[in-house]
Amino acid sequence: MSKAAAITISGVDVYHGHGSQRFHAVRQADLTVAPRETFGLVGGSGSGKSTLLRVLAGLLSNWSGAITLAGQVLPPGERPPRSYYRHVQMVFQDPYASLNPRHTVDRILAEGLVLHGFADVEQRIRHLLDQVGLGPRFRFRYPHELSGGQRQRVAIARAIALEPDVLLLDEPTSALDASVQAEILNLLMAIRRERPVTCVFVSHDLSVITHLCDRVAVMQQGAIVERLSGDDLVARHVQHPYTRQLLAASEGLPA
Amino acid sequence: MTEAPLLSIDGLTVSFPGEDGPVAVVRDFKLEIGREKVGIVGESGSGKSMTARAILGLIPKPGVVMANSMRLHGQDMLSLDKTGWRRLRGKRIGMILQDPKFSLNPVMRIGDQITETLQLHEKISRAEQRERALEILAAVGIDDPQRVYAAYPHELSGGMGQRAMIAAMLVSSPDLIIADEPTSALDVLVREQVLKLLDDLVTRRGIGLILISHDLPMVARFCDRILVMYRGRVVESLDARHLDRATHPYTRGLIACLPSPALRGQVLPSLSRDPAWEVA
Repeated sequence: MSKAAAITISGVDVYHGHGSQRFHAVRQADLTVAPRETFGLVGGSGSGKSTLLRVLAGLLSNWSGAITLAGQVLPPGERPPRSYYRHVQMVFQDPYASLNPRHTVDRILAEGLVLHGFADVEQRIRHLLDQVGLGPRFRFRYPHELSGGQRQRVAIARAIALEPDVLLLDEPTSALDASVQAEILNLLMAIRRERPVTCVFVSHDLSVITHLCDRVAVMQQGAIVERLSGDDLVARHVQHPYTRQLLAASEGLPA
Repeated sequence: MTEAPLLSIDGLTVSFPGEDGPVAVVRDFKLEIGREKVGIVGESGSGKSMTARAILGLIPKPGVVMANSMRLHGQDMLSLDKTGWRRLRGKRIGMILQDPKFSLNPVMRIGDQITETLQLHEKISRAEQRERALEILAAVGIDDPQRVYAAYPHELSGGMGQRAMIAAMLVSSPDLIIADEPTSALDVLVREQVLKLLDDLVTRRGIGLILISHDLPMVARFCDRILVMYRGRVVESLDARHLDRATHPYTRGLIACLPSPALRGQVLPSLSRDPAWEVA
């Protein structure tokens, strides 16, 4: 096992595209996330929050700076080694797009376990399905037979299957109904209690972020403009005008 | 003087054939709307979008629409043929859908999509059409109408795209707008801007609005009254200012399961559904 998970991001710039088309998506980001902390990244569309998350997930390589995650150095400009993905897993926004429609739940969950050489795959799958509140009867179903909330549970089961140190969550509830959102948030909190996992949660929904996160960074046009604790958010102790706007908009008040 | 309702619907039922006979997805829906903002709230599968589609004459086959009456400005909608519906949709009822990426024509410039509608409704010259289109783009809060006029949908952000959609719809000066999740693909800041724009337009031009969404707090802030739908049926009808006076356990459950500072970090109440809710 690796040592306790923690994330250090220093001086990170992320780009999309090349040459004259190059877009500077994240500018000089600095962050540290403590082990077992749930850290929120907040911002509007185009703020760079999801881009930064994708870099951490090892899905984007066009970046510079330094990142360490769960004791692993993420190499800039190249694809991380396979072993990196044992330490970090991601849950995506759209449960309708993130599961292979031609694979059963069993195969979706087994794939990563087999790839990373886990023994007792059978038993783990059964345990995972229980853990995310689905149970054995869902094991041989296809994604189209599941509701949005059930699919998101499968996506979460897949993410925790490899016992990652870090769980990256990109708007995991924004495509779901309120009652299903509550169930998924409850599930995420239960997972956090049961496992030594560090979470980075991206959302534009401040009420969801406030509910789950210990600390928050607010991003605007690629830059981190403010760092806050969850308590600050509840108490509205915010400084930056953009954070104020976000708070006001999420409550429907004029900024 | 009391004004006749813009739209009045009674006993609207939408059903689709199933293995064991027809399955009703909207049951006994009733609404009278004037120049006001009415929200229809419900979760996926509640029938809210199907209700909107039925009002627009857009229920796909093999769906069946039945009603005791459906009238727009007193005109019977049930007897409309294809052409009649098309005229109604173009001219009297405007619609705004969730994602402008799918509802705008991707291979047509924004300006052409707006003038296309103008050409259908009014006989004016090309130059006048362009003038009018630019005016409308400015009216929906687009700062550089010239650029947006010449742009293709993919060149616009989500918020801009939604404004362009609204502009294209406003061209025909509809009396009633049906907006189905118009802001759920947008981030919070843009969402508020688009809602404010809709509010201004509806108030200033005296348009009736039906706003359909799963977001109960947003609808409550924005609308005058709210219908809550569950499994095809309206289970509660509320004054939007008094969400706290909701009595139906489903409505109360929907409010209770939202994250709030008081419940921070705690287990959120989950909604337990009662089969009795499905029976009127």
